[in-house]
Amino acid sequence: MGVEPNPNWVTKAFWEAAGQRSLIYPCCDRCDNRFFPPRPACPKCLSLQWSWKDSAGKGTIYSAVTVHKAPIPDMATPYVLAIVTLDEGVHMLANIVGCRPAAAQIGQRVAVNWDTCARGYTVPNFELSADLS
Amino acid sequence: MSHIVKSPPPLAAAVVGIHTTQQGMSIDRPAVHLVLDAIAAALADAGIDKSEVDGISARWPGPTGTVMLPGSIDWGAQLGIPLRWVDDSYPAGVPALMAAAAAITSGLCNTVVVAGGQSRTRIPGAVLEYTRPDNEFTAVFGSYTPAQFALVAQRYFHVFGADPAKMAGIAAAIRSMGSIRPGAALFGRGPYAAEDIMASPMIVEPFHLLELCLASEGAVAYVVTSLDRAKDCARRPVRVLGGGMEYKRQQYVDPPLYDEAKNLGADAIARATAMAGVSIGDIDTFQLYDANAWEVARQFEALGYCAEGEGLDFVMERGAGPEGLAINTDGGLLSFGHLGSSGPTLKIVEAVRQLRGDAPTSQREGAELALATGAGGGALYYNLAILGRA
Ligand SMILES: [Zn+2]
Repeated sequence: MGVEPNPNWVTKAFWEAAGQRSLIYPCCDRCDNRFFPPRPACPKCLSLQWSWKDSAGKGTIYSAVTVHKAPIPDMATPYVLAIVTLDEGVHMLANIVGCRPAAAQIGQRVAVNWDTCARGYTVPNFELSADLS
Repeated sequence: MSHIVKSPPPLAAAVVGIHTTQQGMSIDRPAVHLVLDAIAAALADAGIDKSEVDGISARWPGPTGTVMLPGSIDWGAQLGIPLRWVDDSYPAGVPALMAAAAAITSGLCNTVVVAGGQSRTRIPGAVLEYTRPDNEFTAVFGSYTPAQFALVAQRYFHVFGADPAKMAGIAAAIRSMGSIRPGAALFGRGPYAAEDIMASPMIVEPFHLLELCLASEGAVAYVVTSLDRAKDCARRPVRVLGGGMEYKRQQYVDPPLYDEAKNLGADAIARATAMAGVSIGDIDTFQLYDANAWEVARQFEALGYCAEGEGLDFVMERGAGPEGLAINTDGGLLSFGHLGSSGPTLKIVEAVRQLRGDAPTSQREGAELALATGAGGGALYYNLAILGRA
């Protein structure tokens, strides 16, 4: 979709898991705090010991906007940019795909899908879902 | 509006010289020349020679010099003056003003120049580079600055069922003031009605093109000095009375949640009014960071002028013009100009013009206290300063 990711030693595992179509998020080994995006230490207790946990890949749209002007020329418009609240409690930016842009509304349930972008990276995006749980 | 000073403000500094060069969408001169013009004119406005300047807060656009921060020392070398204090706050605007006022009050230095500008920024087909920060979990999803702000505003419109036409009305009022302001990037473009704003292309919902700030070119500078020195300057000094800054997260890295962004400004205004010894009802003119027209409404809510969800109604009922709330009387970032990291500096300069009483257009009659602000919702940081007639 947009610019390809440029992973570093903190974020590398996220993109490796994405390549296997697995959505993961950081969870603190000491205080169980879940956070996203990944940071060197847990922002709650500052523990350096945290682990990647698997997300079920289900969530709810917190906010969604239709983008009509892309930041760079080679992105097709319109597309939907959203903040998704994963059921595990963390928020992430993502694109909502597979529906008319106007159909992606705040409060709707979504499930992760995967998209291969430039340089072979696999990127999580979401589709509307009938699942209510 | 008169105000009663409850205790002496701790800051003993005043803005004594200001200048904005002609703003434009595309200016084919080196940025360093534009900024030099602005610095020289601001010093002349103050009646202060460059040999008196011993503090600088300014990015160095090059060429030559260092690529290391802070660029302020390059400016010292360019101006041929030794310095006692340098700063390189990002963004400029309120943080630079507060740092300069504190440095002067504490005796680290006497007179500070704050300056910045940009030119030759346009890239065919793409939005300007600084509006699409290459942050890993942002850029990959095609997000960029206006989209980050849109995600905050969209949630607000959803929760409160607010009327988008009122947001367009705010943009129309501010842009119409810019259309008559000499030196504005979009001088002569307007006046506008809400319908004109809503007829412009949708960029990212809920924002039309004309509801979003410019990415324009030009330069700005101002001079801050001690209250003692300010007495002998050429122009009426404008005192730095108080300020407050909030940084919730690094901008455009985390998803911008409305629930986290909505109160940006509440803590800063409490600190600033206590420092200044004034109440929010005393403010005569509002130079608000209009990254988009909705942000104007959000700020009135967060600052305590109206309830959450009522900001658009509040602004439209009171009016943005000089007879009403006197918001962004130069045309703001929507029409006067936006200079990247120095965009917020334009807010300080227009506040000073209003308090001197010599704004060329849209002067608020008898303005004694002004608020200048920087960034907001989508950026997850915010800052504000209260300035007053000395
Ligand atoms: Zn922890």
